Amino acid sequence: MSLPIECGLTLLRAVAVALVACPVTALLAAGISTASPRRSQLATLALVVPFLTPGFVVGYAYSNVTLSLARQPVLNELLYDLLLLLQVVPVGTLVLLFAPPPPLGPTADHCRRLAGRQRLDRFRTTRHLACLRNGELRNRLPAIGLMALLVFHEFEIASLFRVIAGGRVTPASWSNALFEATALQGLGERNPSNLWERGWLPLVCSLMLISPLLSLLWSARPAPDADISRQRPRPRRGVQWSIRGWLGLSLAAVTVVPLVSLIVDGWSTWPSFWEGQRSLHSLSVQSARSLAVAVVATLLASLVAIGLLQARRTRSLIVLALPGLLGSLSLGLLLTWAFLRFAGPGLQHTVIALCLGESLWLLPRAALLVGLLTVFPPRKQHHLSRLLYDSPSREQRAAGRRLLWTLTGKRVALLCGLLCWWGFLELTINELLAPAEWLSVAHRMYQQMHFGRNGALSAMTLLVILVPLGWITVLSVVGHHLPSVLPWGHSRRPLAFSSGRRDSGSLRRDPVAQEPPS
Amino acid sequence: MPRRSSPPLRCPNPVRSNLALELAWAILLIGPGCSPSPTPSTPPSPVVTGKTLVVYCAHDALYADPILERFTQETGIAVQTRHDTEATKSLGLVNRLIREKAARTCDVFWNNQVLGTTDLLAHDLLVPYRGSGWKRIPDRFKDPRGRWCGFAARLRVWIVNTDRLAATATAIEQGFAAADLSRMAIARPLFGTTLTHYCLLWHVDDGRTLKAMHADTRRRGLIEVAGNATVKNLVARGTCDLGWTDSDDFFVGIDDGRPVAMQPIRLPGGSTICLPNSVAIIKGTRQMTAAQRLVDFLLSSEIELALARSPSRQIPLGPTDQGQLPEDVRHLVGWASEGIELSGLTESRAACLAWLRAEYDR
Amino acid sequence: MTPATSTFWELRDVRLDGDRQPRLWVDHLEIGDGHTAILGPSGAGKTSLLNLLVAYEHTDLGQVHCHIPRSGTRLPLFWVPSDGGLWPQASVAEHLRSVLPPESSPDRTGILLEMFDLVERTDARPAELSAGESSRLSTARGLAAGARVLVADEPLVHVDPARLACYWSEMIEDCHRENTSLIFSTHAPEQALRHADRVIGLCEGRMIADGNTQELYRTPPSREAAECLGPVNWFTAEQALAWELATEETEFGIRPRDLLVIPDESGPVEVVSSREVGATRETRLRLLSNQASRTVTHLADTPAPVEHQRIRLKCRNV
Repeated sequence: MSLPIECGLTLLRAVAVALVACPVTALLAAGISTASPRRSQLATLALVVPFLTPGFVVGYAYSNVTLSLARQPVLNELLYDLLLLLQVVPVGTLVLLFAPPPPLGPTADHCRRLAGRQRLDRFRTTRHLACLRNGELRNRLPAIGLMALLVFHEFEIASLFRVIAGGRVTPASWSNALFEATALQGLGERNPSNLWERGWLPLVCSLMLISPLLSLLWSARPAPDADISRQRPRPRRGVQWSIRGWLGLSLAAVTVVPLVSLIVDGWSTWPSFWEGQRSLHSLSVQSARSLAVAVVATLLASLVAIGLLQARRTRSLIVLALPGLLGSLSLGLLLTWAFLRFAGPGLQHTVIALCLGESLWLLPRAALLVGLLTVFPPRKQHHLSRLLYDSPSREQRAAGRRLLWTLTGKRVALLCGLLCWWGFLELTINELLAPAEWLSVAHRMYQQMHFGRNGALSAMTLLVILVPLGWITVLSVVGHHLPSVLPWGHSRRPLAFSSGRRDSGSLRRDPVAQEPPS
Repeated sequence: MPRRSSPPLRCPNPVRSNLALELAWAILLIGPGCSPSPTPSTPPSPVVTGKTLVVYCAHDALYADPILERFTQETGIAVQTRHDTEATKSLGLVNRLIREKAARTCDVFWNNQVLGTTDLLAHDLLVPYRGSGWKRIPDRFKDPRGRWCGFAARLRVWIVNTDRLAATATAIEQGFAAADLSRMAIARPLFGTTLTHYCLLWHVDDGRTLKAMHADTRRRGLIEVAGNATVKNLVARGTCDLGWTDSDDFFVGIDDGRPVAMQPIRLPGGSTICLPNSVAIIKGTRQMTAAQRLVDFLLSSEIELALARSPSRQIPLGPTDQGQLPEDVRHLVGWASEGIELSGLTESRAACLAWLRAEYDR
Repeated sequence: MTPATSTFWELRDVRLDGDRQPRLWVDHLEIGDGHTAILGPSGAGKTSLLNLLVAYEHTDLGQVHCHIPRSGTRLPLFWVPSDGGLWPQASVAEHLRSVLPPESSPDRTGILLEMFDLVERTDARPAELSAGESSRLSTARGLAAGARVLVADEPLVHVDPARLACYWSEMIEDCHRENTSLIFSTHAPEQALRHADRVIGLCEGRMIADGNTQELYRTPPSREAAECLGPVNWFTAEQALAWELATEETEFGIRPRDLLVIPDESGPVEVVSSREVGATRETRLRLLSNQASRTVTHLADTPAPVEHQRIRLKCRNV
């Protein structure tokens, strides 16, 4: 199949999966937002974990199933679509949960229904379409677009499921087709303009899919101070059970089953695995290097995102994040072209190129996470925690430390942890830009997965996944105690009081205050 | 009564202080990643000056990595390997070597076949070397100037699920001629040994029979998958009855206890398809001595024997102690000797590849 | 329970689930014509009940039957939600005009805008309105719809107290004129006392009172029911005897206007302190027999009790 056809089929799948996912995300968002805080947290965790499960692990876990379906391309495609659906629903749900509420709230929408279309359609501003545009659709379109984009760019599972039966490729995947064309024809690297000839169509499709989200972000304004409550009706009991069922199903199918299969597959090989010290040493060196690259990329991406968001330069951030939104293959090829065109051959396979590529790929995720987590709390909250932390009382200092961790440290840890996780498991940019000795360990695992499942590979994959998880756990524990060891913990400078003006002045006054006359 | 002064307090900028927090974490994060120290029980680090031999290897990492690790152990020369995906394998690496012409990073190219390596001749990318290893390999498996050399071969074979089909030439022929070919699988012929297979078929009559066969098999529902290993998996699991694969992939199925058997694929004329690995030194290498040592190492009888005794059961091409060969491999030696001549295929390969690209781009 | 002249809603075994306990649990309730106030503290389930009536929420158990009669083009039901529920793209005037029944008079919009002091905001959009203006607009829209029944969840809640009584009066008068039944929830008992014929009291999702407003005010069945309708001095059966307010064990409440604090040298109670709070007085008392103390609220129309003064409590109605 030609690249344009595969691109078209991939786009069709992306839109179809996203449309099917849309009502599911609406239900999940309604259920989570109206649940108690504790249940909401648990539900959000259950929601997000499947999305964080690496695609190649999922594909590897189901590779035997897909082998059985090699002669049934329709079922193969359905299985693939179902796995994609389970993986992208969390993203759409998070968009609905965290996007600013639409102008037309749920109570306004109900009033509209009570008044009836006959009356409201008399006026342009209260007509049905105007209400749709200002209502839930305003947030659902970006959610659909983002989910479709993720499906459109998915290649790890597609690569492991890929079969041609009677001349038809299942599942169709433009990124696999472009990747093969790159390998087959040295696309772009002999003649950079070839990339554009092949790559313009997926690029245009990606932009189309992401445009509702970009439009929402571009036109987003800071929320007004007045808190307009958005009364949302709590879903019925049957719906709540359906929500629980869905969360359970996606967690089981996308995370639990793959993890359990890795453990079961690799169980018998663990003893011999640990005895192979040389391969263990090699694996740990590769893992450490992969982690180092992931960390550098995480730092760069998060510092840029934080800096620009703090300076309220959202639009600049959107422009910088755009290449990352186009997917790792498009981004990798763009960078390859840019290096060849402007920097000369050879530089595209360096650690610098690799770090730059991964940073750009992580930037949109960093921006989204910084926005969602609101990494830095308002100054007042932070200041209050600091006051407590500077107390002479040990209990109050401990309370202040806990508050600082909750307000800031935990959020930054979550941000760094998630970005590191994604950076560590990234495959395509590694393939295109990494020098031989810096190829990521996940990339090596993924290559070997195409040979089929075996115990040793399962054991190694499990270990590779545990590396970043373990490191994030260590960081969380260390980070919890970090405020007490850093230099600003016990400052000796006196408090700076304002001179009476609203701005924070630097005038000092005698800390022993004058008592007012009684 | 004067009020007790409260402890002095400073209000830092939360932005700066939190960036410092991030940087502190970064130090913790990066630190261990920079210099991982080997465990006490691992072998001593290589002695050579810190430079590493970069090998592009199209052979399966499962078999190639132990060989290269043994080389490092014996010589102290560190090796960094770049493999490619199962799907694109040698072709991907060949193209990569061509496009890295201006700024080479590879020292030695270990291909899992000969075609592809011979492509590099046209780009003047190979360095002649006629070492001890080259000398022991028969002439038909090497470049006379020493720019490349073959070793440790595989055969293209029919793999058959014996629960569903007898592993006889007649049964295979009947299976291949069936109206519904959806129970047969091959790897995509754009890459790897299947590409070589197609090139050999093309060479017979400039592709006329091949084109007809290609169209016909697809019309009858032939399954194409990413690589030979997947073909083996499909047949071993019984999803397909028969397929084309390489002998090393077949033996993986045998070792897994699967009900599979094989027959050599024969071209019109009766020849089998014997595909040696090939090794070549890339022009521009700055580690000529180390590269030459690796080439001699790979072409040595010990390594050919090791590869023969490995799960891949590769067939030695140079003289080896037949008594040390596993029974499986001895059985294959006869078939290997009926292998078709692989030289003079450059033009056919180019034409076949051009046709395939157009075919799969429709 | 006061029987309704015509029943608009009938709720049977209705339950709305909450996190730990049901948000609303009603065995049987009928709501009909007239003005009905839903009272209760925060979290009592007032909004949940009103949401059920307008079908914004649905029950987890039980049934809600709606029998509002339909006549011609008149809307059977409309709603004033607690957050306003305004349409962001429509101006103030458009909010009213778009819901007006076809047969309404041409100056109805103007009348409502004037009624709620929104004339100068005619072209403004909801985002430009203050909380009070939004609240007034939502109420005005509710009246403009001309429905048979109007359900209002804490209407006019953000409006400043100086104008609140005026807007309420206007709203009630308009409902009378248009023959609109009004069901409203409120935290302010005086609105219920002033405007509602019937009160339904809720506490922790359960009904604790249902009846005629004045009757419930005078003789509440329980302390919680009494407190729904304003301050009350509640005496348990033991306290009634101990404080010599009754001769038999009976629990009851005395409204501030009905409680008399009478100086009496032989009285069983001693004054600890007393202070004026607007039209009422809060007096801290101690029972001499057991030193038990409590605060009572009574009218401030008599001279203030003096500290250590012996007094006797009496109920005006007895």
